[in-house]
Amino acid sequence: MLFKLKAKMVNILMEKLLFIIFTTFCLFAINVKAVEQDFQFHGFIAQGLIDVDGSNFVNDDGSISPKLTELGINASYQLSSNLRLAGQVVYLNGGNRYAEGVRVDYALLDWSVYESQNWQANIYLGRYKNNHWLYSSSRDIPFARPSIILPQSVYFDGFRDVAVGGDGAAIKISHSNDSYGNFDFNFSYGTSPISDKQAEMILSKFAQGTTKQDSDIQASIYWQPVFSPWRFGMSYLDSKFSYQANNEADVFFDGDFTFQFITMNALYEGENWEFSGEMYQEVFAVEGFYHPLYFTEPVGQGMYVQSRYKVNKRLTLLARYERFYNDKKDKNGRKLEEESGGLIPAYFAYHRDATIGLSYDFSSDLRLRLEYHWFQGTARLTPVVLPNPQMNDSKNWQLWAIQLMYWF
Amino acid sequence: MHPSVSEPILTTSQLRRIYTMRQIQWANGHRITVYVLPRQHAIHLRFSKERLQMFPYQLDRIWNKLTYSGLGVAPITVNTPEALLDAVIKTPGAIGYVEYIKDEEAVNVVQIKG
Repeated sequence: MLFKLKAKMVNILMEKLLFIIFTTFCLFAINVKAVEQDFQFHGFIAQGLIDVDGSNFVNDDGSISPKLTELGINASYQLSSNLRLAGQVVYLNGGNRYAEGVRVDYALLDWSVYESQNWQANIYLGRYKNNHWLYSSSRDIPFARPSIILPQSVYFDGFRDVAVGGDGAAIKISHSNDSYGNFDFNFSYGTSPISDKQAEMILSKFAQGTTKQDSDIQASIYWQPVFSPWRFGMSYLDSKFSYQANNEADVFFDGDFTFQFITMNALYEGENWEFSGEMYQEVFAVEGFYHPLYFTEPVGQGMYVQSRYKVNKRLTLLARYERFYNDKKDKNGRKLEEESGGLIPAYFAYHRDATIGLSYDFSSDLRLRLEYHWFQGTARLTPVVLPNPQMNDSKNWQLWAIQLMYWF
Repeated sequence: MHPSVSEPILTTSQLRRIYTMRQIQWANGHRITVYVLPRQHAIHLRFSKERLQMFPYQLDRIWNKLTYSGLGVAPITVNTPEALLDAVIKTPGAIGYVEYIKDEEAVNVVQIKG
């Protein structure tokens, strides 16, 4: 109850902050005397074609789809020596991958609490982006992520609106040490509003109640040794959700969901070769929901390794392999199939993806990207809690995509 | 650098901190404004590798993250070396790079050590 009250207060504060930020930007646009270094605006536009054979990842009919649209515009305004406003609005259309539409991606007040030649400490208030995983803050930025479709076991599009950030506060502390290298520590606390579409993607369209995120706590630390091409990181996430059943028209009961996620990552950046990878373990606990006494707490595990080769300053090749299973005690899904009485096939317990791709830079701000994925398993298709085996009746499925992107 | 910046010498580590936006103010407390050329520009490619000892795509990753996730601000990109020099001359606390300078009086040319 206290959590929900807090969440409501945060939402009201967020609405006020968003209003102030956008009013400031509008006033600013009129004030032509503003200097360039205090005001910056940037954006991007990307459009592609995507074709999925054997699943409803993007659409239900399996046709080639233009639903691969990403647009964004952002602005940053330095209010004083230690206060800055920043915001970004995006329009996304990814078909079934996430809800189509315009979103406020981030809108925050950045308070630079401490600055020196070796230290930086910032507090971000408002809607912040998840800055904890290797590609979490750039997942919607077509040219800043490594591929059109990211490894779904970490950057699951079905969880996008919840995982992409939150409304609350975040802290970043950076230390640059000439002997030991660069250290970055991030912490965030907040909640994300859950739309009906998002609830449908996580649970099922049969869930008629209300889903809320009660809290989301995340922390991460990164270390790059002095002048090293390597960087190492780890992160922790603890997120709580609640489901309040609609007593008049619901087949489900009240429920609580807890999601804990630990990741470790490494990144190598050489002149031509780039390697990266993340390993992770998750615990997804469900209390109630199916019936009042229901309880389950499976431990899922996954990893991906990725390599990029820069052939020349324009052409980059990509290869990646990813593995994930929902329950380490049921890696091949036999238990899942048995316990569901054969309704849910075993391949809903895991997700594997082998990817190849390339990107070509026509100029400093125009890029074309192409990729092909071979998938095995459907553990990263929506809805998550009540899967759809009628639509996703293939263990093996494939995807190709092409996307042209421009940014400024 | 702009004449207001008093540092006569910078180490490669300091220069890296400034260009990766890990140091955003000078020792005297003034804010640093960083100017760069477009990411495919030959002078930018040379400056990244020879002076920062970094690959340009590493800078792209850091700057894109700052710019498009709201964490901070990235350097300001100008299209030509002439425009870059002009911007540095006009902006207190500014730093940038060019190959040649005709009028050394207008700016403070910094020496990079180790």
